[in-house]
Amino acid sequence: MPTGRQPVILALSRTLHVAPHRNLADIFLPGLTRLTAGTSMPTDMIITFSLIAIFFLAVIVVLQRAHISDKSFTDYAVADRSFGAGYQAMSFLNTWWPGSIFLALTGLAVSDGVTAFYMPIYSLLTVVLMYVMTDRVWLWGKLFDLKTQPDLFALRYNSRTFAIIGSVVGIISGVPWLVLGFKGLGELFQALSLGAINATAAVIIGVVLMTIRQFWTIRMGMRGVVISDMFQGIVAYIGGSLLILGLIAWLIWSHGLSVVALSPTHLKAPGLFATVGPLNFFSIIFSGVVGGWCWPATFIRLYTADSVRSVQRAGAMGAPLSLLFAVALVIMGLLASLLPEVAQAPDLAWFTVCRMAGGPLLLGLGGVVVLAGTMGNVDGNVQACGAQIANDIVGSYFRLDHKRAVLSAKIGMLMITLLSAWLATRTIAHLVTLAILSYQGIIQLAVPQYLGIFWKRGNAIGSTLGTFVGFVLAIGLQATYPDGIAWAWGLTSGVLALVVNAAVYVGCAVLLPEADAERQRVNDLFALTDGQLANPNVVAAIAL
Amino acid sequence: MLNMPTVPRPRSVYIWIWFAFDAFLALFPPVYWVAAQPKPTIFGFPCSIIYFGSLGIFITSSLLAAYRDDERRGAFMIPVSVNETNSNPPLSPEPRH
Repeated sequence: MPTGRQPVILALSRTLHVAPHRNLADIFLPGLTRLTAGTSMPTDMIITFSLIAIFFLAVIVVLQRAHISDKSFTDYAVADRSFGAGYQAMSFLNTWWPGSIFLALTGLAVSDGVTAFYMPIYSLLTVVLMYVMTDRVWLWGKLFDLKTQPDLFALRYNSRTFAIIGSVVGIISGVPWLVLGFKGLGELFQALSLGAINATAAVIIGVVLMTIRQFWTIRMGMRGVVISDMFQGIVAYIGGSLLILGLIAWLIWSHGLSVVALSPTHLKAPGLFATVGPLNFFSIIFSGVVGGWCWPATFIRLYTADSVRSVQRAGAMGAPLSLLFAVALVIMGLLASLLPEVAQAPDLAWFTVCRMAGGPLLLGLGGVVVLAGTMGNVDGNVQACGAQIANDIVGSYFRLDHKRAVLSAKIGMLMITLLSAWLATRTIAHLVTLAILSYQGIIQLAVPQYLGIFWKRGNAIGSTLGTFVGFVLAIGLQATYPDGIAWAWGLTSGVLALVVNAAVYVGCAVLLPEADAERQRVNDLFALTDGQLANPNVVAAIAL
Repeated sequence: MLNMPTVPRPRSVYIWIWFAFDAFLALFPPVYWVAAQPKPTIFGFPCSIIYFGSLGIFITSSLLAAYRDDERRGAFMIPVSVNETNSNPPLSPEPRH
């Protein structure tokens, strides 16, 4: 899931007005009454919901035809590292850009103007980061059969304990986002029903649909996720980009809109004298960049590729599409902000413009691309959580053969799916706050991750202590200053905690004595990716 | 024997400089304090739109250039299978897609 998006979360939160739980008749009857009232609404709904149904069935057909029984846990967890650049690119995009981005990014552009460009920019920088770290991460993964981010921690720091901590942090932090993803579907179905279905019923429909979809994620593991990502990605990001460009053309030619007509406040990012602080814009971009690869679902993509070349080629292929998609979405939001209908409800800008431009047909297509993006994002997160539960938590305490490991992962995925689905149907106070807290916390893994990849000196004590201190500090600061830390010039809680986290990590690396055997092990580990020869004995000695 | 042969030559310096400029132009606060503003207009467009659009193209171009450079220097000609050895010259490239 993408990160560094506090403004987007807040925009999303404004759209999630789910009423307290009521019985099903209360929820669905008003809508059914309106549907039978003889208006044109049923016809429109038939169009929009039919498009959704066709897309959903197409995804199921793709998955059914692609089913291959897994031969090992590596096969199930990372599809046996078998995918080329095309699949990798789409898989990354489908995990990176959730469906809610269509609503959130346009909503942010409508309300906050060019500040919304921070997302396309940090997303591209994240690909640059991927490009430079891939060599080592992928080669270590291939040589030592690494399957998850905690696997990398265990190898680099020779510590299963830190791997378990990383895994638990990743899974717990992901749950609020999964719940938000499920709830976001409620907004989709309510918009597609043109108001005939209330918010709670719409959320339930979304949850049921997404839960059914997870049957194939659980059954097929990573292979199913990546294959469906290709189809969903084409629909969401290629189809979505075409749709966005069409809407921009419509806004320009039909309404005569231009970015030149925007107010100065909409054309200005938070600057030196901004109320949020002069470093706020830096902070949200920086935390987005370093945090992007801390999420289990994003990181695991590095291990599904068949080579370093495929990962880096995927970056080169995906970046232009990501640029086109996200920049066009922001431009569309900026132009749409000039429409009175949109200005009244910024967070519904996407659906409002689709409906205005092309009636129920375009509204339905707009809904399909949102659903395609959401599916890929939720699937990827559910799968990554399951893989980590089996590989890094259960697998740390019990020796699991292939079948038991896969069974553990499936049970883990089922539990995560049902938990998130159930939570999505409840009214949870402070859900958005929890999501922000989890985000500020999980980016603390960036210190042991990147310094561990690029620097030989870090150790297990520094990584564990630094992450713990950073996590607690980030949560504490965020809870104490929910609206921003006034004395920090706009730096977010997560970035401030990262500084302390890094200081602890470096301090431990420099001050604590290091055993000769461990120093040699780490040197050998880095030598494997520095073009030096190694033999199987060295690899066996390094592996846990 | 597991074989990790020498990478032909390191990544070009200009690529690293380009990547550094990516980060500098996006993250160094004085840059966006000045550039992410409505004025001046450039080619009739507000400065902030030009800044963010150009920055996106600049970063994307750096990735394309890096990939092109890696292909040229043979960085991907690295066998990593445990069955591949020095006795199998020339080095078999990783699969092309």
